[in-house]
Amino acid sequence: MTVELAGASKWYGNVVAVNDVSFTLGPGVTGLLGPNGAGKTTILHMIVGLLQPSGGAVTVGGVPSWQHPEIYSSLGFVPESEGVYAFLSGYEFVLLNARLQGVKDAAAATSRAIAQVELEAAQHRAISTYSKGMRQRAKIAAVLVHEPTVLLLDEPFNGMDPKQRVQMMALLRRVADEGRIVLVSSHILEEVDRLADTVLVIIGGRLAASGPSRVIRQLMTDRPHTFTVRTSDDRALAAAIVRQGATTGIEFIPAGMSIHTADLGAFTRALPVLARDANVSILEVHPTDESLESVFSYLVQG
Amino acid sequence: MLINAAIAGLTLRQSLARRRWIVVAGLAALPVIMALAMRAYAGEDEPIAMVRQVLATLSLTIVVPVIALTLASSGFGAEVDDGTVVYLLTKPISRVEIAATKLLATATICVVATVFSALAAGLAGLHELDSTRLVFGFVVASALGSVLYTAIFLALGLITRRGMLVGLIYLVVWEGTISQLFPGTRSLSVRQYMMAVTDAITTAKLTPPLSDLPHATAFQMSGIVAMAAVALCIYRLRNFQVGQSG
Repeated sequence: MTVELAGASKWYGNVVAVNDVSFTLGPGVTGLLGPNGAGKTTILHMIVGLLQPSGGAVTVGGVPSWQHPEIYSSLGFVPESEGVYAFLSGYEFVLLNARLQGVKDAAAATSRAIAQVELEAAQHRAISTYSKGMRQRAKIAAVLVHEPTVLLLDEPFNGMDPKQRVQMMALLRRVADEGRIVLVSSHILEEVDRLADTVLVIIGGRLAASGPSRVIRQLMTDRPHTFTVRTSDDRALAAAIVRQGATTGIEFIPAGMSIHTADLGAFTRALPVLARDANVSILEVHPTDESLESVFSYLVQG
Repeated sequence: MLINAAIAGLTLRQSLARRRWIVVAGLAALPVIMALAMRAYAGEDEPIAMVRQVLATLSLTIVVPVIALTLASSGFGAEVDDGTVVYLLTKPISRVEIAATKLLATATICVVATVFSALAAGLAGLHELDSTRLVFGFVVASALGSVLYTAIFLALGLITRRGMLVGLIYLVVWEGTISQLFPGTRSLSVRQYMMAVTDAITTAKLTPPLSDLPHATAFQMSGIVAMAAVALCIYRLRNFQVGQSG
């Protein structure tokens, strides 16, 4: 089974949310990476059949997902929305989903899914008392309960602490290793990089890049960087850096100096050595353009 | 199969959650208390006319529509608002089944509450089931009104985010004001259907009648309105698209 988008677009009046996106998902974890508002959720909603594509085709196992509820037997969607039936307990919520899916032994499937997300201890408490991470796990148990072939998760790591994040990644890895198609959206490169086999980069509603996560990470790190550096003697250090050749340009600014480099690794290794040799104290170093948006805008231009 | 047991169970819990059952029980008790009070105050003078007045002005005019509005406020509209509708819609269940089950479950609670209320108020006022079938007429009218109002308010929740407000405006402005002033608009008023059905059933021919709407029109329009509301629910669910974000 595959999930396929062929020239899928979604627009609202004059506003284009998703523009001519095509890709095919196979088994394993695929990361849908992009800044907030890039159209990741819109793409997920089209795959799940909660939005009608304005153009192109979106199919799950060859069946258009819009207005075909039968696809949900093999598909599970975990929305980003916090909205759950707060008056139910975690167990009741998962059981409800099992029964709505028509799972044969719903009670056994529910216990199995709750064990999978390690929520046994809190399963009989009302969801309204759950932390964000527990809610997220309850939502995931609710879609694992019918053992879908395709699992879609919208920003599943939002609001989780680092430990919960690691647990969740391990869980999604296990699910993917069973041969399922897992699609995870995120605006954080690190998350996608650690979890996904394949990465799809969405910017401004378009598919900007796609490939193995290692290649995408390289694309994002092997690019010009700019650092703002403040030292005890800017000019002395600048001279040393220029001589050494690790920069493509230095600019003196009120906050110190702005150093451009084409080779991030070489520059970050050379800087402390040069400072020590020139007997200059470094007071401050910070990347000027590390925001995800600048990484993405670089990718788009590249 | 048209009814889904899991959705029905969920709807029952949703409808009565958040202390809504207290509101429903309180509303249902109102006509009973009023009938008891009037009986105690007015004594044995024309109990039939008195009960008729309580049930027409309080039960059919306020209690039935407001109970339906209260119960339906937990329906589709609220689920769209808090995002839980996604859990229903991403299941291999036909939209017809979802709509039919929601409507049936919500309407059932409403019918039970309003029928019990009308029956108890009638008995409290008359101390017996009258031979003129007046109370029976109100019971049938309450059940009919419950189903119609529930269907209308559930559909409104799928059409507009302000479904409950629109429902309230319909009750106050359309049924309460316009259809009182302009008799021609009465064929589009659930309250008038209920009144006319009561008139049709009871043999106590008191004047003036509760509604001047022809009885046949009331029955026909009830069927049309119910079918239209259900069809609208199914249509909106089938074409439901989540609010755009991200």
